[in-house]
Amino acid sequence: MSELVEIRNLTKIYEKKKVALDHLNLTIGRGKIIGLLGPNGSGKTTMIKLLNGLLVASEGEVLINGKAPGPESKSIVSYLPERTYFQNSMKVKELIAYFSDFYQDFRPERAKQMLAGLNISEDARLKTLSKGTREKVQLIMVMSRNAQLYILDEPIAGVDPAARDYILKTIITNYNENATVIISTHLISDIERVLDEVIFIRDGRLILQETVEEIREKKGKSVDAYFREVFAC
Amino acid sequence: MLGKLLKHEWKSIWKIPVLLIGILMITAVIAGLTFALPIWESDWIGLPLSGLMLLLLFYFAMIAASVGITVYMAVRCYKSMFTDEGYLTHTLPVSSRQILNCKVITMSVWTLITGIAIIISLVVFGGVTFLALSTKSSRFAMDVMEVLWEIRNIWESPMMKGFGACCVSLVCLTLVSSASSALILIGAITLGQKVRGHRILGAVGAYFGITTIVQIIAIVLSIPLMVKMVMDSAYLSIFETSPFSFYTSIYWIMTAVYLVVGVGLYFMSDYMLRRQLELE
Repeated sequence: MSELVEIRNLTKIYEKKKVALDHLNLTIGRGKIIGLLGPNGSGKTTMIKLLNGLLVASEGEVLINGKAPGPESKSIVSYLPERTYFQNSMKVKELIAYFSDFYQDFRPERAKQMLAGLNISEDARLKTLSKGTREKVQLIMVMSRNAQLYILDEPIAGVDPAARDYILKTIITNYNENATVIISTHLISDIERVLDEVIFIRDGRLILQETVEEIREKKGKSVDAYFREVFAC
Repeated sequence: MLGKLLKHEWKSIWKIPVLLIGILMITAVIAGLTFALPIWESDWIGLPLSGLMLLLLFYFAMIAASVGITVYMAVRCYKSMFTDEGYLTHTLPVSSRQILNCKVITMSVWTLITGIAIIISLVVFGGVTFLALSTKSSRFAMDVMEVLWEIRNIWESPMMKGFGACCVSLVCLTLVSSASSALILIGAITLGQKVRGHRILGAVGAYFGITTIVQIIAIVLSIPLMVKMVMDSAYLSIFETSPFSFYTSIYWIMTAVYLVVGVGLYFMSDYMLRRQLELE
């Protein structure tokens, strides 16, 4: 079976010649939890947007399950952006209906169960919920899909430790085990325990792609410690 | 998938246009009802002035419905495609062309509905005014019937020649311009995305730029017809012969201009969404 994600020579140059990704090459297999790690401005979000077809590459290509980003890839990718992206006037139950309509792999019962666990009413409008609760609703919707690839951009940034635990627990207990989860973050110590593999990116270039075990064995350090060493200012 | 997109698009936007149209209809009835009140004959200027205000309110409600719904559609289109909400829209398992088609269909239909609603509101206003004045004066209804009878005579005169063809061209113009108006808005919003940091300003500028160009093209293409009208003696006696052939020609020219502009903007927007999409 082919790799789930193939990135070949991927380059993204924004206006004013700002190079966000510079001839990036990597492949991502199936059934793993992968940390996409790098300092701010390293190109993590640009790579994620390219995987989701929200940007067009300046050069190179992205293949998901052998296909360029499009309707087919989007039907197997469940994406959580680093911002609140649902229409605020929508009710939670309308959101469930929306996801049920568009995503064949969406499990509404699972979503309802998780919402009930957090005492979030399905009749609540998103604009009446706190920012933290809205983010949890987003995570619940994304993780209620039985996707092949979950791409989570900074899911634990800007939340309190208790919420971080909830988010990580939700990810770990709800993802399809044959699927791959890509988690972009710079809060490594919080997620290190759940990762199988890490990808280090700096200035749009691949610095390292190894399993967590390999880093611990070869470098004798935790991923967090090694990250601090590699990206020391 | 287009059907599902349309369903959710419709659900997310119907409330504001329906509210504006509802207000329009209510103001039409209120404005018509003022003619049933004895305020117009009052010696105190305040009463006829307030009646006039209510008539003006109906006039502004028509403008609010027309402009308000257009602006609302444009804002919704922009927000759902190019702001944070775009992250959901563009990660749905649908093609960019389906998203574009959904926007074009929804906005065209609402433009059409708004136009029809304004016509209906005028009919409502006319009807209520007729009833209101009829209750005050039994002679009024008779007078109106006499006028209508005279119109019937005009209907059979040579002046009405080509009226049917004119109506057909007007219907075509209405349908094409509804879609074209939607495409001008979508095209302007899409073009505005190229102006980094000032995307809304870019979209507004593009909208006025496109509409100005369209108007200039329509006027330039109509000039030969207008010159012919002036030069041609048959047109000089326009009220003895039919004016409809002139209007029919003008409507067809405008239909052609809107059609070309609409098709051009459709393919440009499609290309921009497929090959130039850059969500911030």
